[in-house]
Amino acid sequence: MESMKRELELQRYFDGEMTPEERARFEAELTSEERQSLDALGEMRGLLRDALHAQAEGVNLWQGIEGEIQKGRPADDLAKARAKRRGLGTRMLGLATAVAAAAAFVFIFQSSRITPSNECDIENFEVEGAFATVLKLADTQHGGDATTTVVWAQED
Amino acid sequence: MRRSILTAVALTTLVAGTAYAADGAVNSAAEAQAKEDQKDDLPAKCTLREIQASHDEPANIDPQITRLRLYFEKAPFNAWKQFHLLTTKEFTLQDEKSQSIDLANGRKAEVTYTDHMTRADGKHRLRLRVQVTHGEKRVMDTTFVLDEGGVMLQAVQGKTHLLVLAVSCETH
Repeated sequence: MESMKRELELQRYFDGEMTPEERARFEAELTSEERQSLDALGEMRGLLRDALHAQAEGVNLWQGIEGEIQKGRPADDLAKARAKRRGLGTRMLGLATAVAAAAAFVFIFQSSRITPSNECDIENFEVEGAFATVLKLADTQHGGDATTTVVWAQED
Repeated sequence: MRRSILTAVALTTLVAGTAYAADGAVNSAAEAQAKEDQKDDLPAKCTLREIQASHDEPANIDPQITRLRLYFEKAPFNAWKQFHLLTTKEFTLQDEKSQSIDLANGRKAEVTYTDHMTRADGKHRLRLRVQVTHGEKRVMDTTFVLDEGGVMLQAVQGKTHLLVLAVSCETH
């Protein structure tokens, strides 16, 4: 029971959910094994971040947004649209910012929380003697519109 | 009077026809349910693969690993260099039955086929449970719902090696 409480605290520490006072107290009590576990979790987060950044570099959001605008705008309105371009640009900048913020949220959520996928829904998950997380990976071999679930456990 | 008789006959015919149609619908629904129940009773053919990964050079993925190869070429798996298929266990599970399997790392995995269901879009889904034990100690216990024929991966990262369990089941 005590070890489970400690594991939860470790996860809270890793996720940055502790207050500065709690962090200071927790850091003072950290054992070498717990430090190793934190290093491993950090390594895993780094790997995921690199993978997501690599995927994001290949995506041109603006091209897709611009395509949709051009598709939905009648030719007669082009002159009016040019006059409003400045305002539109501002709105699109806001939209792009919102998309970027949503992507960032998805990344943070994905890297630190249990995330069941559509194809494999984790209904119950218990682990003992290890730190574990559930990852959702893009499943490109099935057309890129599916995901594969990985339960990843880091043993003590 | 004649109009009343005709109306009565028409109503009787209508009621009888509706009852017949309803009866037919009930029969069809019952038949469909019976077929669905039959499908639910089908055993699941399952495969459990064990793959061990290490940081050893040179990088190599066992040629016997085919379906899972693309996963291992990407993060987070690509932090490991060599992937070897240790075992492939194939077994058939009846509904609500389990199969115990000895793993290469000395642990035991018990796979339980809990449920089969059909989604509104016709997709078949299986509810499975995988329990990994080390002696008397339960190490990991996962219950999940998976597309028929889909794969769920469990990776256990040790100090030097990574052990990956890949579980897949299908009834058709």
